[in-house]
Amino acid sequence: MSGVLPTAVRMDFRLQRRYGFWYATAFVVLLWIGVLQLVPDPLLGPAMPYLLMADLAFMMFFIAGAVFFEKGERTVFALVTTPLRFRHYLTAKLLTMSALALVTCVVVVLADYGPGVALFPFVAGVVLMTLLMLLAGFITAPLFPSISEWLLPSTLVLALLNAPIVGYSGLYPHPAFSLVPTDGPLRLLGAAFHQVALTGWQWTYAIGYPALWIAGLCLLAKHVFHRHVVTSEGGR
Amino acid sequence: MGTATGFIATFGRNDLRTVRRDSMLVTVMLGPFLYAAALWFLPSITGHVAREYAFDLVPYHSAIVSAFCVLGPPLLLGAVLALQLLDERDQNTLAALRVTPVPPATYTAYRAGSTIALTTFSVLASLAVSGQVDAWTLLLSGPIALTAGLLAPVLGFVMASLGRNKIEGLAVMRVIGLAVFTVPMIPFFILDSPWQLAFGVVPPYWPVRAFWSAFDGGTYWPYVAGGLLYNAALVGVLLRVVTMRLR
Repeated sequence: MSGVLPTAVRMDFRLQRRYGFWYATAFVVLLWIGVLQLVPDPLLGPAMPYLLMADLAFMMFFIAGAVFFEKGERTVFALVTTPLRFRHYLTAKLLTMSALALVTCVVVVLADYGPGVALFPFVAGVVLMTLLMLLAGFITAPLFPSISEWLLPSTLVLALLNAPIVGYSGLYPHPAFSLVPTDGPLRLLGAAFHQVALTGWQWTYAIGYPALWIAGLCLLAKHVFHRHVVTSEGGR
Repeated sequence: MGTATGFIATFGRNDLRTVRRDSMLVTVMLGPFLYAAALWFLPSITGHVAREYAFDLVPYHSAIVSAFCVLGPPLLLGAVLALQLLDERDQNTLAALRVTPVPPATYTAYRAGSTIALTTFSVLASLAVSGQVDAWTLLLSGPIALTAGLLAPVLGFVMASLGRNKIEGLAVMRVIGLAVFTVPMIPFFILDSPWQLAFGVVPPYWPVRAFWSAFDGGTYWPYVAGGLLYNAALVGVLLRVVTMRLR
């Protein structure tokens, strides 16, 4: 495999390892496996979609951390002068980070819940949810000068992305929650653990709506990255 | 002593001057309200879980409230402290301070002190706003909030010492974050066993253990005293470690 994208993907996997993400993930997987043993069996299925969503939310911090770090170390400005296009840069980041997230979820679910999970909605739910979290981090991070200043506004973004839980759980169902793009992936996770049954058009919404958002956010990411990272270099 | 107070006053004045410039303090104040707001749903969640899954959440209320209001603020503000220190090291602010007459540990001590104060306030404010604790429990939570306040620099210093830079700091935070929200909760399920005391080696055990007693009744003071002593000692030790590591 040669070419720009495979090279970028290989580089990102290497960076992930050097940043310590792999060790962190191994620890996190062990902790989840242990802690979920405490959850009573009848509650495990209902709890899994929430737990996976909470865990995947951390991907937002990982990608934002990578953006801040690469900006601070100026490696990102070195990349700008190579044949690597923005779409390769973003694709490699999204691909490698979602691979990490998916592996984490698969191991935890197989260890604690077993193979009874519905494969298609599980994979679709995890991947769409991860991509939304990653893009939320990638887009908001460049707007702040340092990670400590980004950290707290990011919790507001996180609160918004987690809002569909209120509707999905049945606490206060309201159609407005379905406007938040994480609502679909959450329902897919619900279907994966046999908590909800989705009808034909609900499948279309749960996959299509977040996919539209992801496409839009990728375009926005390009704009934000160009304006707040690439051209900011000249202003130094 | 007089000069140390002077240095700290200078740092404080400088922070207040920059408050307007960065949104930090505003959002730090928002934190506890976000945690508390999540708990406004607790009564309806309890009813919902009882109806849907025939599971009674009421015995777990003290554990749930403690996770959000007693552990949430120290974790969030500890992470902010760690990222500030790593940021300042990366931007060479800490190197600039070394050529001034300020003793090396003063700046870190000042950061720890302001984090302790902010966290103590956040814990109390979030408990008060959550609407889940009565006046008596809130009163008993005063010393618990201080224990949780001391926990913030313990967590922040560990995060800042284990990561060599911001991004490794984040990887460490992911592990510590999950561990802090889960491991100190295990003794909740084995309160009758003397083994629950073994969890005392993990610093977050003390404030949550004391809170469960304040909320549900039971031995309270030994946990408060143990937590204050243990966490204060850890802050002292880690202050030296982090000052060495961040040079």
